[in-house]
Amino acid sequence: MVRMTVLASGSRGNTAILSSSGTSILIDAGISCRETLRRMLRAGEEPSKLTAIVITHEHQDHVSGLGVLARKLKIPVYITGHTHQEWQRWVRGPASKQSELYDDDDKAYLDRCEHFRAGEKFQIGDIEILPFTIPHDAIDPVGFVFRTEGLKIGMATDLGYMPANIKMHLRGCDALILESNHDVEMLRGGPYPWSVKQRVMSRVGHLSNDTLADFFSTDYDGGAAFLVLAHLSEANNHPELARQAAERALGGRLNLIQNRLVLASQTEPMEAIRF
Amino acid sequence: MSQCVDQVVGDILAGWRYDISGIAAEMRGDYEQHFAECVHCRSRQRLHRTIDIG
Repeated sequence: MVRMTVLASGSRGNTAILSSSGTSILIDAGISCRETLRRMLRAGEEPSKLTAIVITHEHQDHVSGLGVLARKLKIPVYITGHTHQEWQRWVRGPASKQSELYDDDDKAYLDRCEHFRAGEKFQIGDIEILPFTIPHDAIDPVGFVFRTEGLKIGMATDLGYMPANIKMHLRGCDALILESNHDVEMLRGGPYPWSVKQRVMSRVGHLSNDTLADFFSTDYDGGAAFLVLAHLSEANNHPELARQAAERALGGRLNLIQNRLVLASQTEPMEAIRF
Repeated sequence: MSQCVDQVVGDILAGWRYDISGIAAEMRGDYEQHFAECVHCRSRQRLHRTIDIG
């Protein structure tokens, strides 16, 4: 049995769990350790069974709970070298002189840390993971393709647009977790300063409902059982707008067996998708 | 004698002499929450800050 649950999704924190029969990995740690454990229990996931944490990029809404969570659960963290360095810089703050400290004094110390590179597969238990570069304004951001028990699951959130290489990686997936961040009109007329609006709409910002819909109507192969819309903006989107844009784009391909739409939430765990 | 309410977080904080001022504000959530709830660690933090000033 393979299960996928998004525990939190949005600019106030992102974290998800993928579990196979023998392995369970946490993808990002963007909410506090306590809240992560609480939501795991609500979603029926056992924290002691987590095998590892994998990190997409260093933005605070993806790593703010990482330090405590990794130490508490005593599990390894898989992260790119550049993202690791940038996370350490964030945690230590600007004024630190950590090179003079012993490991135990280092606020960014992780017991077990494995570096991976975009484009190079690695394995955690019985889950094979292929990280791929995504266009986002972080130091070395990645999306993932997970393969386990004959299933392929693609995950790409926090990306400014959908380049050809990502479309290729997402072909043939049994489940897709994709960003549907904002409604362009809501963003334009919304409360953010113009500089932030420009950043969100840029090619290293976030994917709009329309851009995702365009992917669904023109490039998506239509074969996934589940489509999870994730990282919805609370200020510049509405779940119904995101759902309607996706439904329109998918048209007649929506049915009870394929392309079931699920919306990930900021405030509560999503009902697990199961294979 | 008081006891820490969450020994894992308490041990991390003890390693840092209960000083989280060097951590970026956005990353302090778990530690601030712990100080809010743990009398033991708040007291240790006060002690260490007193020693630092003295």
